[in-house]
Amino acid sequence: MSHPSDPTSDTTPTLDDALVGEAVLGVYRQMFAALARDGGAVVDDPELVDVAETLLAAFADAGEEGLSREQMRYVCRRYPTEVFENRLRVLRGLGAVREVFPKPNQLRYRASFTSVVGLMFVRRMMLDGGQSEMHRLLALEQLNVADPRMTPAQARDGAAGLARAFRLWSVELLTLTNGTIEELREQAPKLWGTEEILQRAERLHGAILRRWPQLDRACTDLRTAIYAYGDASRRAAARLSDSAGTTRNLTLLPPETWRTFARTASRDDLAAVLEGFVFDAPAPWHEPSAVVQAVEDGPRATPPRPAPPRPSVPDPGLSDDTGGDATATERLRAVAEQALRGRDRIAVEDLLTQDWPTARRVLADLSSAHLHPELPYRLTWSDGLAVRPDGSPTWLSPGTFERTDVKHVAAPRKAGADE
Amino acid sequence: MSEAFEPLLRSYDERRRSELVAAYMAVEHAAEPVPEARFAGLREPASRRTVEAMLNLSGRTLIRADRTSWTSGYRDEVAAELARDPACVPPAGDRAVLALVLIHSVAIPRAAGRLPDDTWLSPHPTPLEELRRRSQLPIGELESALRRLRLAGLVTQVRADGRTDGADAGGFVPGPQFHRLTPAARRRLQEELILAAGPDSPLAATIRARRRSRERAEQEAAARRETSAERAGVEQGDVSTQDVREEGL
Amino acid sequence: MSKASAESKADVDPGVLARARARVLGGASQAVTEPTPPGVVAASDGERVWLLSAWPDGATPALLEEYDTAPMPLDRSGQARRVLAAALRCCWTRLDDAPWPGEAAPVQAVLEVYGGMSRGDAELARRWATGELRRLSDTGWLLLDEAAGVVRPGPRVALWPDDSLGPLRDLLRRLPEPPQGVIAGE
Repeated sequence: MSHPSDPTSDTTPTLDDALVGEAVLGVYRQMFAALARDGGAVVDDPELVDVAETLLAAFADAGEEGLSREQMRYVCRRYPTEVFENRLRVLRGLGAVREVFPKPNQLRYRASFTSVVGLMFVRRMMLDGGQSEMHRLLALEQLNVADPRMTPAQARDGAAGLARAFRLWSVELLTLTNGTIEELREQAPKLWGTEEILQRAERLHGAILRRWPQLDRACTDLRTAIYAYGDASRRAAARLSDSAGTTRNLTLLPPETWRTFARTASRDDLAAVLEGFVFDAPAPWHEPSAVVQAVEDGPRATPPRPAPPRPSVPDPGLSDDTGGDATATERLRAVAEQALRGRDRIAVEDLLTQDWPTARRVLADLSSAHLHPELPYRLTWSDGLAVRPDGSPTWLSPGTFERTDVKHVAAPRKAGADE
Repeated sequence: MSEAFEPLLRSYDERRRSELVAAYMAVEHAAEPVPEARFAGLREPASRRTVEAMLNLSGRTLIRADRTSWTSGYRDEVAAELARDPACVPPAGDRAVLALVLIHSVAIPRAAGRLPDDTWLSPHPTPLEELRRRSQLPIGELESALRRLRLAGLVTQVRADGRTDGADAGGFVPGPQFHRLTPAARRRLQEELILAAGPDSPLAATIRARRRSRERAEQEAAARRETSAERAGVEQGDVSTQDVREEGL
Repeated sequence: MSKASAESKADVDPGVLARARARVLGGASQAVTEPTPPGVVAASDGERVWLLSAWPDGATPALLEEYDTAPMPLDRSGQARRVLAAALRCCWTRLDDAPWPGEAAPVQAVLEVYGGMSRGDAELARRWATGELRRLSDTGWLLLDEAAGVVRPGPRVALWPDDSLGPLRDLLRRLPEPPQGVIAGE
């Protein structure tokens, strides 16, 4: 295999150099033809890449016959003609699609293998920012190192290339780690190294060093780069951990990883996630009045019985059909009006003549009425404290419950308050 | 039967006392966090402190849900102690189903950018089919686990509403109990999920490293506490005030 | 000194832990001879004692309703409460006494009473009611012994303040009588 750069050559390029250079550029062109908008720039619409992909797939199916122009147009029928024509022109210009003449007067087209590989590579890069490429590269290098035909020079170039990749990754990660947390969160999963990648790189490093001890310089470089990369990954992870919030870091594993885990994990692996968490036992509350209400509201086989005595305060029950806001508001209004009995204000003390649980309930309702934005009532307390040795609340601070719309004490509302 | 509360409530007049009791019952029993605007006992830091002390009596603590709403849950060290007793934790089958619901309703929508809020509650139901056909759970266990989880408020069933657009057509979402996790418990839940699903990720490595160093620090602190407690028995009061502040009072 | 403020990360006050345990288990029982931790409601039937969370000043979760605040959602709460009423009709026979600990009654009798309270497919009603009996038993409102075919009030009814029981007593008096001569386990 010929190497493009020859250290012995002087600065003036020879014809051979030019030819080699042209061949390299030819590969470059084919490799990225799918991404080219025209001869000199990258696509500005991802759909253009889809056209190329559709075409390349059709070529793969067509086999050695290739495709005619009509066949190409047919597989790309969902794209407008001018888009198709443009793509074909660019792909031909860059050598991804070639004209062939299997018979005189018969024009067919064939696709370049390099372009397909290029596109596959690009798709993988888009998926994980090069993680899987790195895995492949490492696996490949590991095979190469075991290959008897491998020369020390090739091994050194391989190690140097990997070191360069790791260093560039580290630089990018470190830059991100010092940038905004949002950008880091978005980019880090594509850049940071899993433990597996680091272990693989170290294994490769060990293998090179064992076979060619003279490459210790290159190997030290590689090792330094691997460590730097591991360190940059940990720093990025630490910064993200600090800002983990409640669920923010769940975004750092791709949905596919979550799905795979959910579908393949054993019952015990799943259960381990919630090990050490305690939750309240189910403890629904059935208030006696709610039990009564449920029986009364239930379907009956027997004719309805006379209405039972109701609790003093209208009680919608604890069931999940606790009326809407409107009924709740009306209930508070009724309680308030019952307390005021037509007056504009009343001392709280005078309301609390019953036992404490009832008094507490009334108080709670009056506070709710006070807080309700639509209801015209106010509950105010002074700071003093009165002792009532015989009363049910034995301590009481003087308070007043009053209406705030004294002007329009409407008669109908009063009517509603009388039970 | 409630003498335990008496030392905390004795000094208040009846009005304040009833406000505190109402706030206590509300944070303990309401399904959702309650707004402090509705409960005088939660409005001021001083009365919140008393509610916190009432909750502390049974190992619980106030949990702030958003800026102005509150609920309650087990204190972290109490939860850790309870969890040692197998009777106090849900059975493995229930936990497995719950973990699946958390992954499908929270982790996946979160990772796919469909869930903007930083919470364990989610509008994206986990379809029953997903649990039934595409998990390793024994089918017989599934139904009874879901029944228990629903009864305990750990999952909520979302009905399909007759819509047939496929994607979010009913299923199960995490239930109201997830309001009751302390900030530390929420963080730990996130970590446990990452450790389980991506054990090889740098994030998992960081989580493991931090836990190791925290354990070391705790052991050292415990050793220090013991020696200093031998010297003078005063320091402990400071430690617990700090705990209370950390929890957002 | 308050127990709660004295706890450190390492060890939790045993009283605090016992009360937390009562809540997390939602009414576990122990032998009457074992010591009862302070600050819990201990509902005893003479042999065993059930430990339940104690609430201040006679409050119950029904207080939420006064503040228009929703409790934990409960599926088919109406049906659950009707089954509870049917069970109490059979187990709480001396209505002037407290409902706890009450007496054991055959499950069949409860299903009969429930059948008399509902309409439609009787077999279906029994099946629904059986499910509800289990849920009520899981949540401490009833104690169901399926093998023996009997049910009795659960410790949670001991949390009902006596002054809230009037209307329930009235209701139970008006419910159909349990059939006589039903044998447990039939």
